[in-house]
Amino acid sequence: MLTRMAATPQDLALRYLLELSADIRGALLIDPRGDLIASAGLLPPGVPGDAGRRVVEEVAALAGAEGEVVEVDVFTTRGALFVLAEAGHVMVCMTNRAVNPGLIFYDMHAVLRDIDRAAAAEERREPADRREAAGSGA
Amino acid sequence: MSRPRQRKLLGGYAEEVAAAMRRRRDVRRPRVRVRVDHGEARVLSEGSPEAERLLALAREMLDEAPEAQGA
Repeated sequence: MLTRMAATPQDLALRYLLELSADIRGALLIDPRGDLIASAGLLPPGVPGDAGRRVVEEVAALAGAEGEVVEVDVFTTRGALFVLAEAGHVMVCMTNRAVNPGLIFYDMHAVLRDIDRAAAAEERREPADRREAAGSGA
Repeated sequence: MSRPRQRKLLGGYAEEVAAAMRRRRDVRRPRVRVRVDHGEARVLSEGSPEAERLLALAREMLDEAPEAQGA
């Protein structure tokens, strides 16, 4: 039997990113260890595989010791890969070649900031929920 | 039209076509650009190890066939 899994806020954020920019074919959200958090859109078979970990390693090497926000765009003969590392997340987008990198990064920053805000709100809510549960149990 | 003038005109067209082809090739050339902490963007030099690794990773993630890489 097939069951439908609930989409996480990160999944929804990536789907929104694909809605924002029709040029983005697929997107990934990766944590600082290289583990996949969410993905959306058209991804080639086998992706992310170990690509997430490799992206994180490359970005860390380029950022150096004090780099906090890193933007990388890679243009190949047929497409482009955009990587944004910010606020403890690494976001990767695949597009075609005919895109404006500034606009793609603008949308990526906007969605990553939303994810960060949602995570902060969730963290604030958890202790409040625990206090509430403890209060009702007493 | 005199022959030297005709030759000059044809030479001019050939230069235009060659320049357009050079521009098109430059635009389509694979490149890796990095920007750290909203600073100035820098293009990684062609053939550098980090640029090659990132290009290979991008081709893999974009599902590009190896034969298309040099196209």
